[in-house]
Amino acid sequence: MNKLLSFISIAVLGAGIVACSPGTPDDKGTFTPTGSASELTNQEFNNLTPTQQYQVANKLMATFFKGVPADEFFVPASITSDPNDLIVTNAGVDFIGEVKAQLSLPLKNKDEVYTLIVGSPATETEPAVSGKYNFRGGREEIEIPLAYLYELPLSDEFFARWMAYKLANTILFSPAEEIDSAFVDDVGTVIEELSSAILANAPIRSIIFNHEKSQTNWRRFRSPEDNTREMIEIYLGLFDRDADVPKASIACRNWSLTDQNAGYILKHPRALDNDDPQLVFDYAYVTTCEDFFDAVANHPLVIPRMTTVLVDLMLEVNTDPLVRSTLVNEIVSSRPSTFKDIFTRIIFSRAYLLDSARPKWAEEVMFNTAGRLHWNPYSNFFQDINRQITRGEPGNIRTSFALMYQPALSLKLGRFPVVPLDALGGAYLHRGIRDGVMLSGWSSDLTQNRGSMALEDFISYLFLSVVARQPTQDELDTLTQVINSASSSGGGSLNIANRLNDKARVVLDYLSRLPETYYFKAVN
Amino acid sequence: MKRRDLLKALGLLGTTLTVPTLIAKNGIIRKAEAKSFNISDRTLRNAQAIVAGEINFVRPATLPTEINIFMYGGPSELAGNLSNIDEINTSSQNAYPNNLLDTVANGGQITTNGFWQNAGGAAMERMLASGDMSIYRTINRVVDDSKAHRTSIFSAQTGGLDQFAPGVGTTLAAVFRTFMPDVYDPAVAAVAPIIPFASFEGDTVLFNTGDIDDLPLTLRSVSLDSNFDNPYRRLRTYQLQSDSNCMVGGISVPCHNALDDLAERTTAATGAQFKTLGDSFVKRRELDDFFSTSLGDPNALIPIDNTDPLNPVPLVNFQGRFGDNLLAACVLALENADTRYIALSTGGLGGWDDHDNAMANNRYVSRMNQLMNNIEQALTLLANGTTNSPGRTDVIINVYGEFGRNVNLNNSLGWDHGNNMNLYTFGGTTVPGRILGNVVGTTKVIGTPGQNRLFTSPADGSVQYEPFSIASTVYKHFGVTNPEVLTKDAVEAPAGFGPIANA
Repeated sequence: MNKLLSFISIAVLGAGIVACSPGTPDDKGTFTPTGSASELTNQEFNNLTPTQQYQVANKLMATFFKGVPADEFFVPASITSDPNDLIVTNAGVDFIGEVKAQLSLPLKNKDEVYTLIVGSPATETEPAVSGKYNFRGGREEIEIPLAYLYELPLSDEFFARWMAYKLANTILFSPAEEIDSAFVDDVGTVIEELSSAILANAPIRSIIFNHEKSQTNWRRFRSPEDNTREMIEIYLGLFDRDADVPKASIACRNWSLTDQNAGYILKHPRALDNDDPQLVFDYAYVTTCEDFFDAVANHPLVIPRMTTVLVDLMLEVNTDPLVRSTLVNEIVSSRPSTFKDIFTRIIFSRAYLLDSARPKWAEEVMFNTAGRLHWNPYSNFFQDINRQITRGEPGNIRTSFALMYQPALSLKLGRFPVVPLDALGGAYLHRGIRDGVMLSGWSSDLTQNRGSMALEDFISYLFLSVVARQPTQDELDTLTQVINSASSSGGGSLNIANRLNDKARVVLDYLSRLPETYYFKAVN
Repeated sequence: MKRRDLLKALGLLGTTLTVPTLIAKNGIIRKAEAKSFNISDRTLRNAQAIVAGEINFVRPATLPTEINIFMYGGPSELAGNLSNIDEINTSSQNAYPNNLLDTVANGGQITTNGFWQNAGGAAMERMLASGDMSIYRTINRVVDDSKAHRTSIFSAQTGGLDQFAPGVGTTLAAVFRTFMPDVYDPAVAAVAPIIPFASFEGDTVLFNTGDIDDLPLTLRSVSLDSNFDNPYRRLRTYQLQSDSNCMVGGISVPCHNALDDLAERTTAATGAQFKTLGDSFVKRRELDDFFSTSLGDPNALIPIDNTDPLNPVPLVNFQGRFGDNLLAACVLALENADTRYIALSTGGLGGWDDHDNAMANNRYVSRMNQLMNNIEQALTLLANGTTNSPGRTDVIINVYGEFGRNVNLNNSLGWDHGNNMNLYTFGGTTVPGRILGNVVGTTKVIGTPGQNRLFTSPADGSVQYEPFSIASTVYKHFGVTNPEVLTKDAVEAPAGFGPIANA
């Protein structure tokens, strides 16, 4: 395998040098990705089987922490134990194109939407309005971004916030709230600045440049050596430029944070600017720290590095290196300049929507399952799930992203680019899905009008809803027997067979124990 | 460009499309291309060595237990080595506190053996004097040096240069299975060992699988939390109670077992695609049973010290979250005879990436002090045992990080990434070959006064070791007599790295 990897690496490297495809220029001079990076068209989507369409639709929506219920994607009456009966509703036709279009539309009633989530203070004329959710004092900046993503409809505003959230959970822009010199407010600053810049279609290079010189960045990387080294590693992917670090540090010699007692404020007095030009990257002379940051932001490796990090994030690094490198090359060839360019090209690519298979991040599995089941969060949900605890049973959901080893917006170097699935992290993730979503919080919409279904059809409906497949015969037989024979320890019937919601809970409990619930699957 | 960067870097693969000729001419691509032919040599290193029979193994009479405490961020060496502090202070951009320049006897901070008194130095002196500790002051990376966190962490925890290689814990597991099949190969062993490999820090590179991806589930690491409160338990109940029974296939079985069994059958039928989580779920089930019946609150297992009958107190007093984890690790080692290798971070103390304000509010000093004081408590507990189990003299605690730091106190009043670091090793006094009570290695100061790159390096003639030798030493403790083969690199270090003498 590794010999193969070695060969592949060399082959792809060589191909990249001599024979890269430049993509296809359109009449505006921009480039359209080709190959695996090419977009999944509506026609291709519509040619999939109804079940596959539903699977792809939910992979796309899970990516955005949302889910599509089966009874909205399919004509309800067509849902039986026979997948050949399934009929896609009008909402399901051209689903991919519709989603993409919505991500470009402005958010309607923006103020009302935000007020719904966080409330608004009293004014001279209006009383205070309570928000839908309770956020914990001092932690709101971490909790609110996810609440926004849960509540906002697909729109350009949503997409910008989603990209900001994803980026701020990677090494690229993590606010590093966990370290002493960073604060919860820094989380809000990073998220708001990123989402605003992305919404304004700011180029990647300018976003990086502005972030490099920001106080939030310096609170993460706190000395000239630390900061310049990390900028080279993070934004260029170069890990062996140690000789550049002292020179870059000279350019940044007058940049520093005040101490803890003074609040970790970034200072860079101009009077102390360096005036001795330093050669970095073997070709760029930099004198001041801003010169250095500019050299990083405009370095030719920036776009390939950003593309690589985001492809690794979206496909996960355990995906075949050849698949990832091919996608990277094809996207880079299409000359992206904004984060929206890169994300869009990854997410709507064939490689992602049809071929990718990887574990879902906690938000993806939790909110996608929630969306499929007509689930609603309780008012403290976003603070409970973001508790920074390392053991125990926080809140009603009795788990948290931190316990799953996926704390949001906190880790100094961002979340590790592999979903943690060790036994303990997996147990806490399972607890969140089983206890918090599958067994509680879903509304009667899930079972409404299903009372007349045969048990076999009802089980099939729930399987379709959660894992987009039909149950196996073993699953049908066993679940039917469990539902029909469950008894108390004293031997009395538990009456599950006569109660629709309890029948649903047995099936959903089982589905929460299936690893596939926690994975994106390849369609083919 | 190092080869590991090539591997990391699909980035590089992507970059090749747009990197200007200028950079290509400077050799980045050519070097990467030239070196990439040997990637497979590295990634297959451990697996090949085991399969190909390169390893020489002598089964120890008793297998020790090792607790590996990793100091993420790269700790300064100064707590354990103030031997050069005068010269350091003279050359540093910013002055060190005056009391750091004088001995304890004169009211300063320098202990008899050159430790930093308040930064754990007092505890270190006690542990050194009692023969429970040695310090190696010259763990210095020469081969393929890196000052990047990620690459250095991978190197330290895989015991080699390839970040895709198996972690030290995984390699150990493979060695166990190969050479002690009667205990560690499920195909042969009558009884499976319980939690031979554990982590109190969740996923860790120490247990990365690399090419050794066929380890049986019993040899995979298990993540635990510090109070053994069974996080594997399913909490929410509904009509299907935990003690409900169902008729499945004509047999009355607990309903929840029937659901678990069905999930395992279904997952097994899907092949490898959901294997990682599938294995974790199987493990979850095992652990739920184990924790429900075996381990309780670690604090309840601490013996009582009745030296003063009027005031009986717990024998040991661990402090803070790190202390909780260390206590749990010690209890696991004492209570569970099967546990061999435990991964622990210093989480709860804070990170060691002290680029700024290292001296402010005793940040570094306090962290080191808590670390060493807790380790002293651990040694006491390990020696005395719990209320259930006798003490052990074959539990080793190793403490180190991914690299050391410069000794210049920079203009942010911290220390930037460096190289030379300490290995602190404790306990395990009856493990063959270990001789404790030593301060090993001497250092000299390198650098230009007033410039940031001021650091220590092994003094001329001093013994020194690569960080990979720490892994090599672990393999030796468990019976590998030529651990060099498990740390070698075909290009950079074909002879591999030998174990640390007396460690």
